[in-house]
Amino acid sequence: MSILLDLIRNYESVSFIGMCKNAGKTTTMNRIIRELHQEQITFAATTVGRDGESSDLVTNTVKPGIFIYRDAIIATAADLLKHCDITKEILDTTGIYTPMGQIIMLRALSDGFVQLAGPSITTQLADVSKEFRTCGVEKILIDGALGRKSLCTRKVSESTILCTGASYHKSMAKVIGDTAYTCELLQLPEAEEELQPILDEAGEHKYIPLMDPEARAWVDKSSDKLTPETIWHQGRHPVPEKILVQGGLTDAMVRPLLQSNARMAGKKLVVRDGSRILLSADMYEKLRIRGLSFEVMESIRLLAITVNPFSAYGFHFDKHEFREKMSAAVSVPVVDVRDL
Amino acid sequence: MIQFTYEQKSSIGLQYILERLNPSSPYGEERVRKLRPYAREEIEFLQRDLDNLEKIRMQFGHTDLVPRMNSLKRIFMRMKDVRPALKKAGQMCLNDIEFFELKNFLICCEQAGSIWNGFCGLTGVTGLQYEDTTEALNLLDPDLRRIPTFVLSDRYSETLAQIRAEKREAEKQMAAAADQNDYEQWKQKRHGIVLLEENEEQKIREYLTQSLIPFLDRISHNAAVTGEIDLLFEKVSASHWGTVVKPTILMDAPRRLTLEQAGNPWVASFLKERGQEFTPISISLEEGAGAITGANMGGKSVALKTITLNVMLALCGFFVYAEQAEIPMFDDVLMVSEELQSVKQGLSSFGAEIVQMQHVAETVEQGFCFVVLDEFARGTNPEEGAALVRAVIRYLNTKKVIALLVTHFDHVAEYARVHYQVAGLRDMDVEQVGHEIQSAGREKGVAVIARHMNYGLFRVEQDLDCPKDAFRICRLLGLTQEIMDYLD
Repeated sequence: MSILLDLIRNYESVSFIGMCKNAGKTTTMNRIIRELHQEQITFAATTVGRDGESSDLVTNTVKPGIFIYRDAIIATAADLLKHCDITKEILDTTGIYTPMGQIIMLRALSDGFVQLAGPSITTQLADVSKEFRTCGVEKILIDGALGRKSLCTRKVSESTILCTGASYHKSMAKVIGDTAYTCELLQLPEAEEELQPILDEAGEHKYIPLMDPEARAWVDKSSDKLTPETIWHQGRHPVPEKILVQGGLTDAMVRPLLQSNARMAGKKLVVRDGSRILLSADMYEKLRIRGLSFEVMESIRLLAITVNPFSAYGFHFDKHEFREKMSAAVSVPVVDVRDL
Repeated sequence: MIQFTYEQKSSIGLQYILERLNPSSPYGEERVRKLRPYAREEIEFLQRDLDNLEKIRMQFGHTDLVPRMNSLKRIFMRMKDVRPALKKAGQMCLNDIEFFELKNFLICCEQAGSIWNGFCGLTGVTGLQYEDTTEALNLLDPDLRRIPTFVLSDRYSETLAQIRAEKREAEKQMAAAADQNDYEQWKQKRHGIVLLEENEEQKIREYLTQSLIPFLDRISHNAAVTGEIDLLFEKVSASHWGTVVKPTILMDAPRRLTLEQAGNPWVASFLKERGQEFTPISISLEEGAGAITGANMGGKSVALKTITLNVMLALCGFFVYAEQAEIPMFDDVLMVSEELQSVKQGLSSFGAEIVQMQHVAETVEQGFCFVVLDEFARGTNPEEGAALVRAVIRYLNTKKVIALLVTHFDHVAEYARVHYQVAGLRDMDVEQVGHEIQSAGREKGVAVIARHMNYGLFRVEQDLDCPKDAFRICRLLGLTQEIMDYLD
């Protein structure tokens, strides 16, 4: 039995994110499904695509088939029913539409291979998860999106497993570096303060300084546009320790901050979740060197990384070296997908 | 057939009401979306709706009434739309999702049917009945457990049961496989069985589809009845949005339209935001043309729209917002108004009005119509405009219509059969209003004047002149003395 099952035991939902195609996501999922079945733990599965991306909807939400067992519950698009060879009991039509038809909830009355295609919008996914729970399942598995901009928010799942491998890039150092950065973003600590009420009142302001340990908001009604560099400008008092950021954070937004003489050591930028940080690894590192750190409003638990040393493009890494170096670069368990 | 565009419905406040209706079922939703007035030959349905509404309202005090309505609404909310499946079943084999939707709908009908019968017993509501579809439901529910999920069960076919047993065996072997080779072999074997299963399942689907065909009409009927009940309940809700009365529908004689203390929930809602109340209006019109004149901002247009709104509501089978209402069974309701065209000012909007007027001329030959004209020919020069309005009034007086014109032209209303005026600023204390505007500030001037307007509608002698309040309004709003000095 793999350590993966132990890791997901305490979480109701787990998502699987791939750094690239052929990273071993399907293998990992199939393995977990098999173990859940052996332990007679009921589960439901679906997929989620990238929020708001309509052009890639079809390619991003159809995942390669997985093997499920009797009594499992799945949610998939109507057009894919014919590609599921399980004996099916139709539990409900959800009223959520995708390019491949309405999303249907099914129970498997036999074992078999299924094709999953779920909603691409997180709010719809929350509705699907809600329906799953009314069926009384113990675990919800979400086949997540690809890449760094994936949906690592708690709205998708409580925990996540990141899958990476040689198919990402031919340089092992690059694979490890980018994967480590993604892990860093997935593991940002949760801010202690209750920030939703502040956000509700913040209106259009992009940057909201948080004044003191009680995090009373200080929203300047003057016409000065507040930015981190003006807020943390040298010699300006009082100085808030944290700034809450609405929306995403890009390189262009932080460049003026880096170029200014603002004192950043010990300061924090708080975003909603790791997916909002759209900084290049380089920029992120530069900010960290200056002492800036990041927190999130909603953290997601990264449970483990699976690595696939074999690339779909024909070459492979030395599996021991790959695993060892990856383990050194991250703080979560690293599992070779081929050992599963 | 009366057809109102979205703009027309919005401008009279009908759209406001439609948007506040909240049907629970997909059938009710469509009934609301496609709501239209009843035609003359449908008078018995119109009367049935009004009678049913009355019967339900009479039981408002009964403790069971609302809980029963809510039970039905909850069942309606669970219903799926089976009409596409019903249509398809006549020509093609249905799929599992469609069987699921039908089974779900039929279970809901079974539950709704018994509650509805009780409801009809309580209120005396007539004309709406669910048909018995038990046989159809049993086809889709061979276990008779009435669980709203669907599976092509083993019960339908011995062969299927056997195939599935073999499939289970193959899956067991796959799980217990000693090595990859063994696994692949069993996987192959299973794939063959899967094809047999699909084949047999498809045969059952064809059998089920065929067997359902004799019941399609009944199921369709139940969908329609659900839509009617859903809409009826929404009409009950709407009757809480103001003082309402059951309109008396006049079939052929007398040709009279009467409204006493009529209201308009839409206008009332935005007046309320400004701290004002809607002034109810009363009117009585006979065959021929009636005229409403009065000050600018005096509410002539609102009066016209309120009357039109209530006529439309009555013909759609709603209670109207009034204390008394007599509404004839019109064959058509026609509105002529500049603002209904999304055109710019000038000749083009006048042209649009004329085109609409021509449509009126053609339609009044075909039946008994209600015609409303809002400031007809306003956009052209007063001399020709007034002459046109006079001509239209005299023309309409000779036709089988009830017409109502709002106009600000002089010497026009004397040709109308009846003449109403909005009181406007007639009774206003000019000095007081002047002070109020001064303290409130010039920009609030219009709002202050609005508050002091008397929007009531009063019957006057035909040849009474239009009130001349325009200059007074200019003075109140502080139009520069330089211009005012040139006024005579």
